[in-house]
Amino acid sequence: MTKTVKEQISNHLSQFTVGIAGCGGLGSNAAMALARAGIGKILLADYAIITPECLDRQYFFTGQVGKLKIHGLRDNILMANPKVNVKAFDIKLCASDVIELFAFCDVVIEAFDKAEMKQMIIETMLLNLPTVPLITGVGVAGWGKDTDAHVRRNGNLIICGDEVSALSEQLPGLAPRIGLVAHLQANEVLKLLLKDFVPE
Amino acid sequence: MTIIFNNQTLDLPLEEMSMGDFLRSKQYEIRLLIVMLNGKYIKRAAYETTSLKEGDDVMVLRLLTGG
Repeated sequence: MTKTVKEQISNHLSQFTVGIAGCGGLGSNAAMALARAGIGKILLADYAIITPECLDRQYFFTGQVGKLKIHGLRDNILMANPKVNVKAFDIKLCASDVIELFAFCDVVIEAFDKAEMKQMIIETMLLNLPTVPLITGVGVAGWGKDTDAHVRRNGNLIICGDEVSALSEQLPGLAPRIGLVAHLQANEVLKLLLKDFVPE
Repeated sequence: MTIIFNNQTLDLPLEEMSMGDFLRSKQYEIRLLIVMLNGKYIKRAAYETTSLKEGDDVMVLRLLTGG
């Protein structure tokens, strides 16, 4: 029996590995979307613990408070799609870890909170893993401004977000807009991985 | 000279300019940037010794907290 296009997409995506650097608002939401779409292997890297403050925008639940984010997210991914091979790394990434961990990924999502960490992974990947596409999220805070969020590409660096809205006391991170950028990132992953996909 | 800056054409009044001067002219805070020139990553230490010339493609990303 012929498979539906959706099943074929899921089959196609199952051959790929996606790295997720940071499992907060961007990383947890993007990882869930990719797991549901059928990505075969997801590498999660983070060192933080789920606190009650995470629950207003990150893909975690009250019963998971106190767990490592990588473990909470692994459990949630497997509840949504048990076929995903999830590898969870309890680590605060430095440049050498980025090279070691993500060298064999088909694409990596940058989902850190701190600007300095974003700079570290972008610089490291552009210099050391130039063939691995990196999808970064920049400008996610606040609400509304839906049409300001955009995608722009420069070779293997793909930028998602409005590039303006930094997190602050006056402009907090809220679930809808962070989710919007996280899903832009996940959508860019599919765009890359499905570029040679032709339905039967 | 005319360059491409973040995918758009930009006319600059000078015929030669360092990357550092260009970034300052655009009011960028130098510390937290990703800069690429013709697809090649430019390290912060090289901003002052990198010259822009006619037709260059410059990409600048200002990094912001939040994620």
